[in-house]
Amino acid sequence: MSLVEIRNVSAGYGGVKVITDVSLTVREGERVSIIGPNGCGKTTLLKAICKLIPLMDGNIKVRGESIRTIDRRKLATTISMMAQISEQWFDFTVLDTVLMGRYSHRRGVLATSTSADLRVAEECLRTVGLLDCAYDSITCLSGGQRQRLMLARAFAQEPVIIVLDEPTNHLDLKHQAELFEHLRRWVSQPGRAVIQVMHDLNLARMYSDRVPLMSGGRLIAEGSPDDVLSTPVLDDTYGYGIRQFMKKSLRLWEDNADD
Amino acid sequence: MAKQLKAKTAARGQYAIMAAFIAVAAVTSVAAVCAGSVPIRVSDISSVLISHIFNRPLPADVDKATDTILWTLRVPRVILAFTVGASLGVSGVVMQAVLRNPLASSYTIGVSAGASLGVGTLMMFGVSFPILGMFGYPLAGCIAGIGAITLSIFFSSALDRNLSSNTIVLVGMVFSLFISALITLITALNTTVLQRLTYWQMGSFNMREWSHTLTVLPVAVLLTGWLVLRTKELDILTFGDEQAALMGINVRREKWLLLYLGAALTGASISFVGIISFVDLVAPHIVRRVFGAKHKIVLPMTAVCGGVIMVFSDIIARTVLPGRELPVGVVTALIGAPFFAFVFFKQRRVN
Repeated sequence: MSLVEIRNVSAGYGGVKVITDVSLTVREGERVSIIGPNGCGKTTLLKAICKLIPLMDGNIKVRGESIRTIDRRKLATTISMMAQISEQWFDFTVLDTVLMGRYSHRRGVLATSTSADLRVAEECLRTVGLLDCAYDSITCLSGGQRQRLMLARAFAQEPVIIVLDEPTNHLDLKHQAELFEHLRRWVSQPGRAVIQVMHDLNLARMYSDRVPLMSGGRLIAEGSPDDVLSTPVLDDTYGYGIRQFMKKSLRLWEDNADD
Repeated sequence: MAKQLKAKTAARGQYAIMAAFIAVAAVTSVAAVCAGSVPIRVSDISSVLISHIFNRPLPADVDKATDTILWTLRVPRVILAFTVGASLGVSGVVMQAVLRNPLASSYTIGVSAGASLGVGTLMMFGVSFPILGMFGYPLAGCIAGIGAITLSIFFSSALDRNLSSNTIVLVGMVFSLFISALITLITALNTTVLQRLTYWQMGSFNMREWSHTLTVLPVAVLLTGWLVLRTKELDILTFGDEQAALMGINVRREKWLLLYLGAALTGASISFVGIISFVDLVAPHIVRRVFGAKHKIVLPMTAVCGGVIMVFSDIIARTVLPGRELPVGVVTALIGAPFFAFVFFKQRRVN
C-alpha cells in the first residue's frame, strides 16, 4: 500500500521554484533515501511532504488524504520530521520537550500529560539514550544530544511516517549506527515508512530500500540502492567520481583489515 | 531497570517558592494600603474591608476618615496597580515567547506607546462612549494595542524576517519616538492638556478609584484566563515556526492570536493609567530565572510578580517625596532601564 503519493509536485520559496515536477511513491515498509548534490532540492521536497512550504503545482497525498486540505494537527499524528536544531534560550527540561511531541494527540485545551504520554516519552528517551538526562535543561545539551532529543520528540508523535533531514548531523558513528538499526526495526512494523535525506552514500546503501536521485530540482533516477548507486549517472550528477572514491576508501579498509 | 518518569508540573521546591511569591504579594499589598501620608494600622484594614464587603457596621475604634481613605482611595488603587502590573507581566511573557526574543515586550516594541496614544487622544478630547460607558476606554486600549502591534511586527518583519533583538529594539524605539512626537503635537495644538498628557506618558495611579479598577479588572481577568488556556502552544512556539508546525500547530493563526491577546492586555491595562515601562520586561525574566520555561507556571507566576513590582513601585512613587507624588512610570523606568541594559548586554555576550 502506498503511504505517500507525490504527483508532479513543484514547490519553492517566495515564488521561486526549487523542485519541479517531482513524482514519487513511498510504500509501506520502505526506507526511502533521497540523495543528490547540494542545492538539488532534497530538503525542499521533505518540507513539501511535511506541509512546511506550499505546493506550487501538483499534489501530495498522505494515506490517501491531500496535504493541501489536511488539518495540521492530524498531519502531525501521521508524519513527523526530525527538526533541525534551532537556537533556544528558553530552558525547558528534556522530558518537557519530548512531551511536546504529544501535543497533536491531546484533545481539549485543558488536557495535560497522561501516564500513556509519559510511557511514550520514556520509551523514546530510552531509544535515543537520553533517559538519564530527562530532567536536565535542554540549554545544557551538546549538539549530538540535542540532535537525539529532536529525534526522540519526532518518535513521541507516534507517526506512521518519519521524515529525517540528514539525521547523522552531529552524531558520532555509534549513534549513527544505533539510529539506523532502530529505524530498521521501527519500519518493520506494519503500515510504516521512513523518508530521509542522506549525504553519506555508504549509509544510504546500507540502510535504504529505495534511493531516488535528485539533481537541479528534478528526480532523475530511482530504484534499489544497488541499481542507483552503481550507475554512471551518479558520477555525472555529483560531477565527481563518486564510485571510484568509494571503492578507493573500501580498499583502504580491506588492506588494513586484520580479521 | 529504568526509573519511573513523572510529569512534574513543578519540582517540590518550586511549590514552596510559589507560596513565597504569593505571600510576598499579600504582604506588599497590605503594606501599600497602610503606607501613605496618613498611616493606617493593619488591623483597621480587615475591619474596613469586612464592613464594606459584607455590609456590616464599622467598629467604633475605626474613625470615619480612615474608612474613607482606605475604601475610596487606597484599596482600589492597590488593586488597580496589582491588576495593571499583572497584565503587563503576562503580556511580556507572551511577547517574549511568541517572538522568541528575551527583549521583546509591549513597551520595547512600541505597543504601550501606540495604545496610550489611542486612549490618550480620546481622553484629551473628552470623547464619551454611548452604551459602553467606562468600558470604552479599555476597549479602545485593546484596539489601539492590536493596531500598534500589527504595525510594529509588520515593520520589523519587513526589515528582518528573523526578528532579531536589534531589529525589535530599533523598530520599537523608532515607533515610540514617532508616537511621542504625535503626542507632543497634540499638546502643542492644545496647551490646556499639556500637564495631563505629560503625566499620562509617565503613567500614574493618582486619583484612580473603584470605577477604574472595576472596569479594568474583568477585562484583565478575561484576557489572562484566555492566555492561561494557551500555555502549551506558547511552550511549543518557543521552538520556532517550523518545529511548531511539525508538532501540529497552525503557526500563523496561533501566533497572531497570542500576540493580539497580549497587545490587548497591555492596551486595556494602561487605558486608565498611561504608559508604564519595563514591568513587562522585568517580571517574566525574574520568573523564568526562578521557575524555568514552562508557561503553565511562568504565566500565572509572572502575573503575581508583575503585580508585586507594580504595587511596590507605587508605594515608592507616593512616599518617597513628602507631600508629593511621582509618576509611577518614573519609578519603574529607574529600576527597569538598567535591568534592560543588563539583559541586552548579557545576550550580546552569549551571541
